Amino acid sequence: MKQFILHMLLLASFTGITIWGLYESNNEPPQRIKNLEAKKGRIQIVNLGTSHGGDFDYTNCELVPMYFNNAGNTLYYDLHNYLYLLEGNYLAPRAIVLIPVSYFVFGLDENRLDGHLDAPFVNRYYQYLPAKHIYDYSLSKDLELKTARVQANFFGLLGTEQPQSEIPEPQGRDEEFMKNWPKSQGKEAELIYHAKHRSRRHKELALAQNPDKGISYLNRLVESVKEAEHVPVLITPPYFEAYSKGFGENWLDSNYFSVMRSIALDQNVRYSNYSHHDAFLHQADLFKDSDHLNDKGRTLFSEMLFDELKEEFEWAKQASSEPVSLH
Amino acid sequence: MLFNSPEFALFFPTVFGLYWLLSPDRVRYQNLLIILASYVFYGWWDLRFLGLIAFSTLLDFFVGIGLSKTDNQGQRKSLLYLSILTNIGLLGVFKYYNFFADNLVAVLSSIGLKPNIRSLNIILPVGISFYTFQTLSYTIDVYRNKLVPTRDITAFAAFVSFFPQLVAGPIERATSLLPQFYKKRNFSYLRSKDALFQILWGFFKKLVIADNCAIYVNHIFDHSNELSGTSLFVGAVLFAFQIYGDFSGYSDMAIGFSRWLGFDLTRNFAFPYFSRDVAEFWRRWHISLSTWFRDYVYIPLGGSHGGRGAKIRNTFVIFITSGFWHGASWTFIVWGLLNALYFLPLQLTNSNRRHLGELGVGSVMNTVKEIGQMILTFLLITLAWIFFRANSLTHAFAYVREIFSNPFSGLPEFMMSRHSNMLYLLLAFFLIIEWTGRNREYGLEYLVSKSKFSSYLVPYLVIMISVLFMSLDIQEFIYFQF
Repeated sequence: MKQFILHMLLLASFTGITIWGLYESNNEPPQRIKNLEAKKGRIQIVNLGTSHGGDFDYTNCELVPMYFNNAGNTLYYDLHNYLYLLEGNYLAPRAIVLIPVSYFVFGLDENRLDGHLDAPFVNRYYQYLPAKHIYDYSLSKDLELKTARVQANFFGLLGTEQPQSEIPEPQGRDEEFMKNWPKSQGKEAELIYHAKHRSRRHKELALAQNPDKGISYLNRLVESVKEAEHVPVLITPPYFEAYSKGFGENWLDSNYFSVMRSIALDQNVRYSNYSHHDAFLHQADLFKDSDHLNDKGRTLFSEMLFDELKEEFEWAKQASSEPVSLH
Repeated sequence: MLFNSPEFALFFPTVFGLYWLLSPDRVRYQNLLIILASYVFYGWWDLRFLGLIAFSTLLDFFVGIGLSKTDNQGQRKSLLYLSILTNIGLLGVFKYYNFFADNLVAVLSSIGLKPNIRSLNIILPVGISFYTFQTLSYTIDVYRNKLVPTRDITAFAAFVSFFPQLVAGPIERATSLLPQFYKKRNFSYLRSKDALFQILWGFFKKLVIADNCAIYVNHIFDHSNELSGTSLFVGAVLFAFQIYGDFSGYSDMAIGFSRWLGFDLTRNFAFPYFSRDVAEFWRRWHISLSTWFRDYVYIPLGGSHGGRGAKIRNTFVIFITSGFWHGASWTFIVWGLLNALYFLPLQLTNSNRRHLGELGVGSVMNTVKEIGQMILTFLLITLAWIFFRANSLTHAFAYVREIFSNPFSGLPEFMMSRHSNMLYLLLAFFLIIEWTGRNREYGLEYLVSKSKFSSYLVPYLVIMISVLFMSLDIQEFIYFQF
């Protein structure tokens, strides 16, 4: 028995050391976390949200900015991303927390399983969030992702990419969608075509789950931001008109805008709604696609928004001139 | 609890440590520990399943005692029927009720009736088909006076619930496994070392071969109406490897873990894809189930004795029952039927026992001929697997039709990616290792037995290859659903 256990330990040690060595050979945190570390305690304006959080342009911003949004993000992870920033003392006092709320987010479940047992959405959070912030944390998944890093590092050492990263995505809707793209019919026609498909898919997401949990996470997020004496700003970003129309204006009013207005009112926080703003609604040249701005649109939107937030900008600047609290 | 889960990685060493810390003379305590561990293992899926297994255990234990107390043939038969009907009844309710109800509704509706038969909203307890057959083997063997009924409830409960093979076999005979629970178990270094190699090979087959194939198989079967015949053919071949890697991998692990606890389980796979005809395939695939059907269904029906008609009937009965054992669906029945059709010509020409010897022995030409036979057998078996894997009969027939109507249409890009190329290389590596060990107990055995150095190096390499090439889209074992 002793001999067997000894040999098992030896085998485990050799394989363990090899695997650990491969894991550690490139164990850098994601780029955004490195950026975060570089600005620790100094971030004066941060945005959460989905890919719509990319609509902000901080190029000419007077404050120290940070993007902290994720494509397709859920309100649960908006809340926990914020708590992570808070616990790590990354934000400056009176920092402005921009919370862009996409039309579809109330319908997303925490880990975006969309009815599946497993989905890759949550993987990104295992890279930096502590286990307590991950919804339904699973040790198996954590190990699986660590194994993925070992595999990637091994193939990296061989000077090639991990073949597993090339696993094909099932073809389907997207391929069909691209096939019928209205080429050379002008930008507006392209945006209308895009909006039709995008809004249909986003409405499916919006209806996927009971919205109560999502609304409660948003309320908790706003409360947490206020409690920490940071400044929450609820935002609906600009959309091309056809995108909003795809949801149905009545539907949006009763399922989205009424919720946003009610949270803003109950929590006494600013709500900036640019979804139907004349400056964007029909301006095809400001959009990359029907629900995302292009560089020109981002610049314009950010100028308008930051102008609206002048008072909050001043508070943030004043607070940062005081010594930073690290408690 | 899955063998390839972090929970099991903590669970097994704990059980192993406690088990061998108990004095080997105290077999009863070791058995109690096995029962406790097995109930934890099984209850991990759903605590409600435990009631079923406890009920099945108690029923067959007392039926066994009842059988030992009477020589009255009528009473003995009644007791046997009680066990068979209750066990099969449980299986019927949990596994087959909805199938029969749905089909009855369909038939009655087609003649204009509106039956009020409802489907049950019940979950299928994991591994119910396996342990039901295991306990049935006990009562039938006691009835046939092949086995002295046990009066040791601890040994019997440990036999029924023995966790390494509880949910996906091998289906053990009471005559083989139960006596091992009465005897003192001794730890053997050589046996345990060998078990380690078998476990590692099982993990490789599951994590690297089966789960990597599953990525393509799932995609191809889910989108079969959009893909070319060549892609569907490759999908079917990959499924053949997936199911073999998945199921035989589980069996290797089950056998290895049992050996670590001092038990010997039945061999369940003997390199079935190296079979030279379908009859040989069925002697090499899921051996514990095939022999179960042979001993408890086929032989009682008359086996291969009797006239041509009886032979044909018995062959169809055994293959169709075996198909239906896998799942309550017409696809499994057709899968069984197809295998019966493959098997029948061999049986009727008395050539079903032509290939009993070792593989690839003798001259090179002999081996080349054998390889040709193996490829043909593999293709026939693969064709049948399409029915096993398809979602419905319509799906299966459409899948087969596309393969034959459009066989040389090229592969889509995703099946020529770096990942798929890696998979093809891994399959080639896998086949080579299996071929080297073809006349041994498991694939890796030949390599690790070459020298002392290889017995240290090979396990290390197998672990590293498994970690580096395993699929991270981990799939549940296919046979758990049965």
